[in-house]
Amino acid sequence: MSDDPLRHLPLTHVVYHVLLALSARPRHGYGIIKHVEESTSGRLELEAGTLYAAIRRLREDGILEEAERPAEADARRRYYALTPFGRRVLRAESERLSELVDLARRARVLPAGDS
Amino acid sequence: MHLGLRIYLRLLASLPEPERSEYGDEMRRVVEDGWASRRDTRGGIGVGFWLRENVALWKTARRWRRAHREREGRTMGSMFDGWSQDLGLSLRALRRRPGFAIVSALTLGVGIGASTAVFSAVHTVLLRDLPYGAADRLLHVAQMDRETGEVETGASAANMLSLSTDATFLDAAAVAEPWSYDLIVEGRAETLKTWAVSEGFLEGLDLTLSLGRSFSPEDYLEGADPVVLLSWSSFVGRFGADSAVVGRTLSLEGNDHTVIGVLPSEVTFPGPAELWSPRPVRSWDATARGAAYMTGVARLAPGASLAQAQAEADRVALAIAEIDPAQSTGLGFRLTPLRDHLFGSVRTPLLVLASAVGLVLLIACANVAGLFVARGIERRREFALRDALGAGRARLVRLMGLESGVLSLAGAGLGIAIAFGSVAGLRALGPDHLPRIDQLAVDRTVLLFALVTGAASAILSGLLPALRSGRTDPSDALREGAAGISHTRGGIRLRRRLVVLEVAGAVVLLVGSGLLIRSFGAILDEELGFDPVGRLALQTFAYGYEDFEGGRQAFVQMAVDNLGALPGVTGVALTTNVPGADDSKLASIDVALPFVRTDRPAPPAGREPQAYQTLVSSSLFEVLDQPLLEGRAFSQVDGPDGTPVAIVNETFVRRYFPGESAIGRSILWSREEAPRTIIGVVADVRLNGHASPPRADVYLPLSQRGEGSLTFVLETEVAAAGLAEAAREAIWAANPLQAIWGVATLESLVADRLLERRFNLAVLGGFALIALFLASIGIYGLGSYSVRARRGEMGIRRALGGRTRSILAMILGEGTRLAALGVALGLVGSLFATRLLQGMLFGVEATDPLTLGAIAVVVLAAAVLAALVPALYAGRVHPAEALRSD
Repeated sequence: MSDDPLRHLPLTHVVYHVLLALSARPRHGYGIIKHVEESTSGRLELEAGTLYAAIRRLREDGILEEAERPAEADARRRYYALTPFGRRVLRAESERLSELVDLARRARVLPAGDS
Repeated sequence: MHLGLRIYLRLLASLPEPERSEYGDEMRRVVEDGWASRRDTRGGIGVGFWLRENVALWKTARRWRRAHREREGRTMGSMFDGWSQDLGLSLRALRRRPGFAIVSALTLGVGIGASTAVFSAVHTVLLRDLPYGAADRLLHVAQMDRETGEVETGASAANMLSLSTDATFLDAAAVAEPWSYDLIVEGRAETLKTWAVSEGFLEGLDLTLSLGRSFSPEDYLEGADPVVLLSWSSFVGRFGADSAVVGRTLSLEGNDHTVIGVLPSEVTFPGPAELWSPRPVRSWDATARGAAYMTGVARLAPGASLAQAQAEADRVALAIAEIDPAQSTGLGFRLTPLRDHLFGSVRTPLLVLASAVGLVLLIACANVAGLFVARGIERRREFALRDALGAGRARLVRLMGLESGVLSLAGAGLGIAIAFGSVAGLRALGPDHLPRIDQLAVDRTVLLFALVTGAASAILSGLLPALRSGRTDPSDALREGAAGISHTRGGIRLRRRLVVLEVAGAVVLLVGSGLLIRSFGAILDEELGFDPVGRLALQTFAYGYEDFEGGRQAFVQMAVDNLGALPGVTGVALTTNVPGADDSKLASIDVALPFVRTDRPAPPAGREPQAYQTLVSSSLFEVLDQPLLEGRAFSQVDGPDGTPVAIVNETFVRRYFPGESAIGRSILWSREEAPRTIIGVVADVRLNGHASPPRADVYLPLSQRGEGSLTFVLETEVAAAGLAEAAREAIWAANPLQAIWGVATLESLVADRLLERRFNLAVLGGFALIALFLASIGIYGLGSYSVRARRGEMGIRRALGGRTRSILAMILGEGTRLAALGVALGLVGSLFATRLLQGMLFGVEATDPLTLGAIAVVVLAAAVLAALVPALYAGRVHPAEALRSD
């Protein structure tokens, strides 16, 4: 696909968290919600409606795709995974955010870290 | 189930496709998982959780729907191509079934046409503005008796003058007095009916003249140069619409009157007239405060309310009673908005007709809807095929919707033609009781109404069944044979319901007209008290005989002799007030005067009883065939020098001499010197037609009081109307300068009083018959459809030796059952609907069991007849033919 990942930036924070949740492995819908909730220590609770609006959009854009269901999983659940293109979008957005954080450090808005 | 989840599922169901099938189940599972874990960890009822979830879902649904709409918007172009193609398809389909198309269009046309005609009447008579400036502030003023509540026709000049000077909430309180001028045309006197208006009347109406100027304040002064205005009808009819007439002089009763202007054609209030003249304050006004035959009009002052004006008028009335107790004790004024005064009496009948025609239209729509349902079922396979080939449900609904649209358009066109015809008919028929009926026209508003009605009919009759039929599953329809009716049950059920509604509507209309017929009969059963058949009346005012040789008496005698000599005339009599006169053909000269019984102490001034006084010749009772019940009639001995005498009627005796004989007793009139002895009692005459209540009348001999207007009454043995011209000439032979105010047969006067009822009855009855006919067609259509749908089944039954009779009974039974249900529903409905009619009934209750029963029988009989046709046909179906049809 000749699509440029930069065209999809910036991502909304919901989309960014969904992509992050799927970066390690495919998950089903409820799995995504649980993961986002845990990784943000409960600060971001996704509603089903919000999640599927994002999923539908991301699938249309070729960022997500339906993944094979793991053998042991509940047959009624559908799993989603990042496409290779989706992975590039996530990476591009992460880099953009990282550059922003660097800018903030240089402006001494944030303390200089050791990263 | 949790309320939050229930709402969530409802929202899920509202998601657009394909998203609903794609994600719906999953979202439900996710939200249920979320709810389960949430409940386990935190407990509670989760108001916040469900609120968030539902709001998020609602937003998502909205976003998806919007995305779909935008995408469809981009393909609109191609959809329009489909429209014209579909229109072609619909037209072709209609052409293939001309019977269906013609019946539907005719049915809708009749419904729309009748509605449009009635609407044009309602629009013209009730809705259109009055042709006066700020007409909503105009009031009609009538005097009334505060004690009895009896309201007069109008108000006297002096009382209106008091109102105009003393009531600050009323501007321009004034009167129009019915007047007439004689104009000599080719040596004969003609009467020009005139409104003599006091200062403020025309100014209060605030109208713009068609030509010339209105009266100036100087014109109203006594002794001013006489001027007149022409009514539009006189300007056109008598003066050929020649505008040079303005400025010309007319010689009216020997005085030159200058025509200064012409009133606009829309001005029909207070009534038809040729001339309008200024009415000065007359010297006798103050002594005639009871002369309430004039039309009183006032205009509400800016910012004043009707209640304020009424309260003030009440105070003025009390003040008048104080200064003039003899004439004005108990005086009150009733202020009515002019619009209500003019149209109040026809509002209810017109609204009844409007409701009735609405019901007819609904029945027509139900009928056509029934046809569409049947057609939809017949075409299931065609539609299923189209659906299977990818036409889509919306397209199929559109196809049927277009058909009903085409039919309704045809119906609207036909309806407009019918409306044009009936409006022309109404205008020609001219039911005089409908004000402004002569202005009836199919104008833009009426046309718009017809089109809107047509569109509504299209939706009611076609689109609803179309939407229904869109609901079927194509695979079912394709699999199903023509003989199988399992899947058409829904359609048949709908048709049955429509038939029940049609029958119910027809019953309501029939009950309404049945009650009006019964009222009409009850009215005709009332005794008139005289025989109007073959009687001709000619009204004159017969004044100005000072210079006539022998005076008025000589003229009267000559005229009576001439009239009596006419062939076919068997009797001639004179009266000052002829029964049935209603001011249109003949003026009604009703004079109610106070009197006292001489054998009783006189009541205080202003509290005397009143009776109507009529002066008559000795032959009147004989000529009218008015029975003498007691005593004797007037005779030669009751001359000018004889004892003053009077004859009274039954009601007078019942009211003022209860339980005793009035013969030989005496009464003294307020305006007479000597008491009068009662010499006879005659039967009551209903002066205002069959429906009017009898009243206390006293008759005095003309030979003792030769004054007032004179009406010649002829008794003839030929058709009275044919004598009118000869009778005029007979009077003119006595004096060519004697104007004749009006000529009418008494029969026509009596009939005129019934005209309004006759009209309402005819229209409502017509609607009821149309409704019954449509309902019968509905039953017939349903019956023949069931027969067709079950041909196969019947063929098998017959082949297996089934009896024809059972099939016949089945079809008949269905029709009768539905009709019985409709009749029951209609009878219940009519209990509510006839409340509207209450004021139009006479001598019959709205729940009259005879009417209700008769209608039920008639409708059931019609239903059986309508079902019999298809039933008989079903009985004759040959088994082989029936089986082959599948």
